[in-house]
Amino acid sequence: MNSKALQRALRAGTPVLIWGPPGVGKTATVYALGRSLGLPVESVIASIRDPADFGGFPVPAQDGLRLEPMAWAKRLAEAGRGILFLDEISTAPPAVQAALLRVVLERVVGDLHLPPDVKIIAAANPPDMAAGGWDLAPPLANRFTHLYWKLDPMAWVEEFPGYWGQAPDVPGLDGELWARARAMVAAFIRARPSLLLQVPKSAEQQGKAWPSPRSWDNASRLLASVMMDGEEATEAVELIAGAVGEGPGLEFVAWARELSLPDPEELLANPDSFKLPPRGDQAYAVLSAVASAAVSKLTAERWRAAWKIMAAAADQGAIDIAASAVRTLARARDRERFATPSEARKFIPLLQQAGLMTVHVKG
Amino acid sequence: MLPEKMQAARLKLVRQYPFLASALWSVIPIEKPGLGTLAVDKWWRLYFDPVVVQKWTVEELSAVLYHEACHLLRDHASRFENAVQIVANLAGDIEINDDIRAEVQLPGGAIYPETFELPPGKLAEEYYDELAKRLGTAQAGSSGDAGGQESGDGSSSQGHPQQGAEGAAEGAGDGSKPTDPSSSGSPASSNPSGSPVSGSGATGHGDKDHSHAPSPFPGAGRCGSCAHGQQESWEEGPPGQSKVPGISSGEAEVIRRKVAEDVIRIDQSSDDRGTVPEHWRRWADQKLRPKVDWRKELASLVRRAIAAQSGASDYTYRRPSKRSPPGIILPSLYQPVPEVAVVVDTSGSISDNQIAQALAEVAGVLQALGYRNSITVLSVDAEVHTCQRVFRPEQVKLVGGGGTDMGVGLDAALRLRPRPEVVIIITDGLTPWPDKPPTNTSVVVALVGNGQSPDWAKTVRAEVNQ
Repeated sequence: MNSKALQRALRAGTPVLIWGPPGVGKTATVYALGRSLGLPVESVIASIRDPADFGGFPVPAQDGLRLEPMAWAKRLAEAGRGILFLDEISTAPPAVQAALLRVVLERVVGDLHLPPDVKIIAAANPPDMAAGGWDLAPPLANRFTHLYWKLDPMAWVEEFPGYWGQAPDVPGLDGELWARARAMVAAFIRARPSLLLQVPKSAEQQGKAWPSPRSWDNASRLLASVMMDGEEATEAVELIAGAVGEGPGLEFVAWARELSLPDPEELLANPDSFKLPPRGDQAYAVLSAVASAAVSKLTAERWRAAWKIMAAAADQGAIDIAASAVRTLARARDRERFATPSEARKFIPLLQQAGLMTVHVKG
Repeated sequence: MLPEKMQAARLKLVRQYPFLASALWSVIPIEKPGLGTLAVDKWWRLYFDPVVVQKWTVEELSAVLYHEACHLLRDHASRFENAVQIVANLAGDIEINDDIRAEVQLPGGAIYPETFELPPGKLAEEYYDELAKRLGTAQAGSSGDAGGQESGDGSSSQGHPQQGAEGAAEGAGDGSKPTDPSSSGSPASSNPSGSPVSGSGATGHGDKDHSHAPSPFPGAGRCGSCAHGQQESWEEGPPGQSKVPGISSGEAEVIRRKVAEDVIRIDQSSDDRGTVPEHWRRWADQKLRPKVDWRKELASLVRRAIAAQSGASDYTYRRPSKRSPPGIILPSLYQPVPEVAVVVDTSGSISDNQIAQALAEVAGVLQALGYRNSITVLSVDAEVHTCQRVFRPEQVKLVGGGGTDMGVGLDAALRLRPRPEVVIIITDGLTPWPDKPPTNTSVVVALVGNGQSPDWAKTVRAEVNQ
């Protein structure tokens, strides 16, 4: 389904039913469509309504019973135009679905006729993910045009940082940091599009946190909230995992951590700028990246720069970490073309003590 | 700054197991003279006594580091959060040493399952329960159970009311006396033939070891809070409250995942970077693809099937709602309680024990859902043998033993009056199935064994013992 299909169906005046798993942005899309068409949206969750909400409340009147419509119907009638959005329609009880028949086909709520310029859109979760209850009754199902939601991660990545046009107001949340958090989430999904939506196969897991556009939106808020305390993404791991599930949450945080590391190519171009990252595993990640980058395109200059960085790391207190990255340099093909720099001697005693002195450093 | 010998030990270990790099380089070393050993806390700080480092060889130090890394990666700290400290440490040590003994040269004093006459290949939790039972600390379950009165106080094992635990604590090295290493002797395994822990056994070894094995080995019940999650008196506080940085539990989980990914990557790559021991492969697999507990999954499916049917509430005007405001007539809601039937496969290919386990789970779920009354159980192989209403799973008489046709069982269940809305089938799946699902009835299949279930049924693989 794309929003063009949705718009065309609405122009044709046929009621539309959107099928899709929870959290993919069905509701958000309908509201965005309402905004772009300048139509007010009245959203009614069908599954928690009772028949009278659609059939009208029987009120004793002078000349018999009147069927009094709900306020949302009156608002639509008054505006003369708009979108009636019936959410979670497939889980509505049969009596409610029966009451909906008249609303959807004849556009009658109680004794009130909805104006012709009121469009009707419904949404439903696939039965295996619905929160209990009924399937759609055949007479009601037949009145809709059924569209199936297709999530396009790349389109989502484009829209997500811009909040689909309008940033919602979340009091207390720093807007600038939230924008940064959203940009990070979008960049992550661009790298791992399959993690945008993963409905768990197991019934038990479905009742817990799992990744969807909605839960990634929550994750971006949570990340912004953690960033407001001056913390890094790592600190948010529990919250993010709580929003999108443990696997995707941890993957996101691991990815965010790597983002903050310096680029090995830049370091090789400017070895004096090397500063040892405070954490050992980050130091290791940087040093082994430098070694691999140098070896992948070995020139005399890069060879010297890589050794210089290793020596600097050793001097800054991480000789053992550097020594484990040095191995990549020491085993490089073509290394004979270059003189082993004097920095290499630094590592000899340690490598000997570890029983790893298979490297013969000449000169 | 780490002594060169320690650096060498760590470097050696990273070379041996490159997949451990992220974990090993994350560890934050802290010198602790007088500690008498080498220990790691749950914030990934490595405490070492320089005297001890001088005494051990690089190989031994590397083995000890390896052992401690296992504690950290296996997350013993949170697995034993509320357990009795010393017992948890021993249990974790046994689990680790059992796995790694063939790979590294552990210093003398390490303990193994056989040190306590326990079978190899079990989880630390299982060792814990067994050791705790022997020590008479019956109230102390493993993580999450009742042993919660153990505080984070490092000296708590001394003050523990149970003689047994105290004895073991002394024998295996009590972490509360860092300044006097000789007070905590190396434990049992220098005398591996020793009697299993029975309150005083371990203490005996402690006394004996006192003379000739002054360095307590961390793989013997004295590893710091990385093994049991309770802060020792000589440990630094949590990262926020201490000057020393540490790895938070969230960061630790990120590192574990990185290590698990590296295990899989290196295991699948063809280069010469060494082989990955089987226990790491298992660990990484579990970390990256956590198995869903079939009991929970079954409970979830049955709950959902019943909720879907009982959620089929509807409105009626027969008895108008009592909450109708004056002048308006509202309908009221009624909710039927769904009937449940259980079909049990009693063909020859499935054992009574397997059926009993699956049936007990099903009964438990139904009970929790408020089915206080009896449920209908049908024994079916190729034909229906019995149909009973039972209150408890033990009352079920399983009759049968021939071929299998669960379609017959399902048909019979659907002919019951009142007609069941939910049918739960316990089978090995080696059976023909109907092509189409029954109408208006949810079917949940608990598969015991490797057979198949139809697409239209919600299925859970019940991993039960033979």
